[in-house]
Amino acid sequence: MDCKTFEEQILDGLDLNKDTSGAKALEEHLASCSSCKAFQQVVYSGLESMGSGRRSVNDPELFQSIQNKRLSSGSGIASRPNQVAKIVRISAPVAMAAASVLLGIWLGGRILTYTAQPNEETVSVNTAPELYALEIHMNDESSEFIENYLSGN
Amino acid sequence: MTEADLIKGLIAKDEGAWKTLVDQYQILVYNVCYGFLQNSHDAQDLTQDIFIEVFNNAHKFRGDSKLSTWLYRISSNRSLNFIRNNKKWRFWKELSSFFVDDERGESQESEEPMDSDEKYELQERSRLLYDAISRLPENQRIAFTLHKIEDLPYTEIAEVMNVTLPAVESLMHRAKVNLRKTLTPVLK
Repeated sequence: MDCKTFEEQILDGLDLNKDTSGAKALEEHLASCSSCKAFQQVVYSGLESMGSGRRSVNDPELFQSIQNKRLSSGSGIASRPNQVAKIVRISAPVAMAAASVLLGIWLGGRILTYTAQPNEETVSVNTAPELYALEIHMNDESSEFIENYLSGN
Repeated sequence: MTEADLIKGLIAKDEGAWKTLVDQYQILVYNVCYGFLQNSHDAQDLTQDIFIEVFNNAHKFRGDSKLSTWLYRISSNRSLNFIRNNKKWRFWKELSSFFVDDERGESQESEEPMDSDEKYELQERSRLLYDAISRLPENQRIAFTLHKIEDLPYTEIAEVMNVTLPAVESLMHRAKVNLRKTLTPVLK
């Protein structure tokens, strides 16, 4: 017999403890074939492990849990607090995001206003030199002095 | 209370009948769910949902099979629906398998002490088999799980799956072929 046949026997759940010719042949093969031995270990201990979490006694609280779940999912009134809780849960991040956006807009506005002011002054200097002269406390005498100085040099 | 009385009570939405149903069949429903999901919390949650569904749809039970057969059918289908609808669940399940102290490991440790290598090997074997079973087509998976984990005979599986006995034999044969195809290359 080849490995394929033995693997099929393993999957069929052949009981190695039974004194049959099939079990004996499989046992002899497993002693010499490492891959079939690994296959047997995976199948046998895997199935045993998968069944190990099964229950054999009743959960005494299950009926009450089911009743509670049925009542909470069945009535619209009971589901309303869930919706409220959901709104409350998402409202804080939404409010924070909105506040951040508003703060950004306000700060941006302030920065733009602040950076725009010197430009306005420059424009006013170019268009109205008299005003600029007044602002730096220049009078006719001082401007005449500057003109003379510049023409002399 | 006979099964017929129980069904009548369920259809009439009788609380007593419902409690009897939960008491009599909770182990069956839970174990089927656990066999498919391999997670006690999910199996517990699903068990509750299945009983609620049974309570709401008791009138749909035609009575042409045993109540246990109907419950096996609902439990198997709901378990597969749960897996299908919870793709994230699969990810978390795989992630949790990396942790050594999972519930299965703990339960076995309490029975007989095992060193960590032994425990790891057992978990690894279990994971390999579970992954291989998860890759089976759904009808083969139902047949294999009900037969190998629930110990149901082929005749009862045929009733649960609403197919003929040869069809179950064919499903089991194909399931074994597919499991061999999946497991053999991994173990070579």
